Amino acid sequence: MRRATGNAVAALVAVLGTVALAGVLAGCRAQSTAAQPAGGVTSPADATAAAVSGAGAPSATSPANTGVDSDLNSVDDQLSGLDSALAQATASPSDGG
Amino acid sequence: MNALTRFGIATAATAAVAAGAALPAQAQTVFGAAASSATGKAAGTAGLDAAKALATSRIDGRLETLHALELAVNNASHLTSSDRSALSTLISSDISGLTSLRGKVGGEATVSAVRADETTMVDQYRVYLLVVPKVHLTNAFDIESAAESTLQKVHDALAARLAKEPGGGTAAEKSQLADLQTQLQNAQQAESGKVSTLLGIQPGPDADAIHSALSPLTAAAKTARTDLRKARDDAKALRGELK
Repeated sequence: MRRATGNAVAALVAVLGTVALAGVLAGCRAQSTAAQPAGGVTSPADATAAAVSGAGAPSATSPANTGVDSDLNSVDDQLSGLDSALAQATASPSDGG
Repeated sequence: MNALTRFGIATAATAAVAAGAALPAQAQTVFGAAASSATGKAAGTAGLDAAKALATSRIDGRLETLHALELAVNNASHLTSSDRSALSTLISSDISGLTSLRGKVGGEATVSAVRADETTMVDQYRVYLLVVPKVHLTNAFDIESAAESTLQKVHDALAARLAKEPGGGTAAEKSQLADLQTQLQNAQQAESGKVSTLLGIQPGPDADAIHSALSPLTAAAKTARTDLRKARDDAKALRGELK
């Protein structure tokens, strides 16, 4: 009787332990996934696959284009300032000079 | 609203105030002349006072413009340090000279002496005809130089991107890149050396000569602007194709 009870308790502990371990592992995995940026790669294998497939190729907002776009915006500002300077250079009141 | 835009408004307002002050002064002159036959010496004094008021108003208009230019020079972000220094020195010197002239006008005893001071005010300073264009054209040339540097950087980045394309890019892309460089060279050629020529123009009694000296410089600045716009358009088109 005592032995049968002991076996039952041991089995119950084993089941509970397995369930608990599974829960912890699931939690860790969920946390890991949540920590990834949106659209991010979730494993080294995925990263390798993405690199091979070209998924990381330059897009409209790639660093290379960002630098060019920023410089082109600066040029737009400079040309706007140039328009203003040229307009004022030729718009002085006369009053005899 | 940037400093240079504020300068434009200040200049226009100053001119309006000066014109408004001049009209009553001229009216006083006419009135004084009519009354002179009756009151003699009193009318002469009124005429002198009117002449002084007009001359002082005209000097004040120039001083206001110079102070506005001073602020504009301090705030212009693309002026080179040497150009900023040259313009600041010119403006300070003119403010000092015209302030002294203003005091001299107040102490004149005859209308003809006041008229002579007004001639000095115009011929020796040429604030409106020369100093204003000097400041704004120098700023324009320095902005163009800065834009050329930025566009050259863009050209080099786009050239590096194009070199990685199969065959070094399409024929159209290669043509756009080449035109970008050509337009940049044209702009540099148009504006190169113009600031020193501009800053070397001196005031004087010959207004036409000053006009003639300024005219090709203004044209050069506008030519460079056209070239830079084309270069910018080339760069944007090429950038769009290399997404």
